[in-house]
Amino acid sequence: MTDNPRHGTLNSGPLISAGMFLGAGLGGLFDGILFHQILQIHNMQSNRIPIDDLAAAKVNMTWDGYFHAAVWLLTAVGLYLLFRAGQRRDVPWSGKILLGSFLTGWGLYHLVEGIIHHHILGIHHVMEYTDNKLPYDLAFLAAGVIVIVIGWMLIRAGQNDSVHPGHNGPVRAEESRV
Amino acid sequence: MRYIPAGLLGGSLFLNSTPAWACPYCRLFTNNGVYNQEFSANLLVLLLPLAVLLAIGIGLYYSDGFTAKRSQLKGEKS
Repeated sequence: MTDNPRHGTLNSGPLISAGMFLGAGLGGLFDGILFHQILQIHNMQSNRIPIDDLAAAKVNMTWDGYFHAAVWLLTAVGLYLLFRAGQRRDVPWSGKILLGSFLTGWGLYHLVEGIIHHHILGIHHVMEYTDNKLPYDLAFLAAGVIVIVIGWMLIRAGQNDSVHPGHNGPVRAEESRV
Repeated sequence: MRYIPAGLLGGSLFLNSTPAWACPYCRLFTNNGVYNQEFSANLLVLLLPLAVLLAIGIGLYYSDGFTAKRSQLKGEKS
């Protein structure tokens, strides 16, 4: 694959990957702050270890911590990939693609986490303090699908972007001399 | 003189406060509830969705599905 941004191939995959990691990681941290900590629901082992006393809450809190540490790592990977993408001349520097992939990553987090943890393994649900937990789990998945659709539309809209502010100047200067 | 009300108020807090106790068994229960024989399996299950997301992200990074010739872009002169 050529590295010339004026005549070669443009590859938005690295930017989409970076945005996806950032979306999944920050989406996971948002989930942890809003649901786990502020609303005190959706804790990681809450279906296996029901939170009916302080000790059970602390066990769940510990597992939440491991999960948050892992989504923090996803965020760090996304930041690193974004930095690397910014250094490449063949990667378009598109805000639409970055925002779209960010939303797609956030939605994928909802879908993958929801399907595996809530529906396949059943280690926890979004809301444990009710007899019918399914509507909350389905709403979690539906939110993910909606965000993915919006994100995908933004990625598609950004596919025509070809600007790379860090490199367009020097390239144009070279071309003007030729 | 102005320190007297503050001193009285501070002293009254000590007089009226009930002693606070840490949960005497919580830490032991937490350690036993987390760091037991099932720890590795639980951690694996916990991190499974993130491993899937990691695989999707790596796949996107190396995917050829998002490449486009510069000349194929709208408004670009080939």
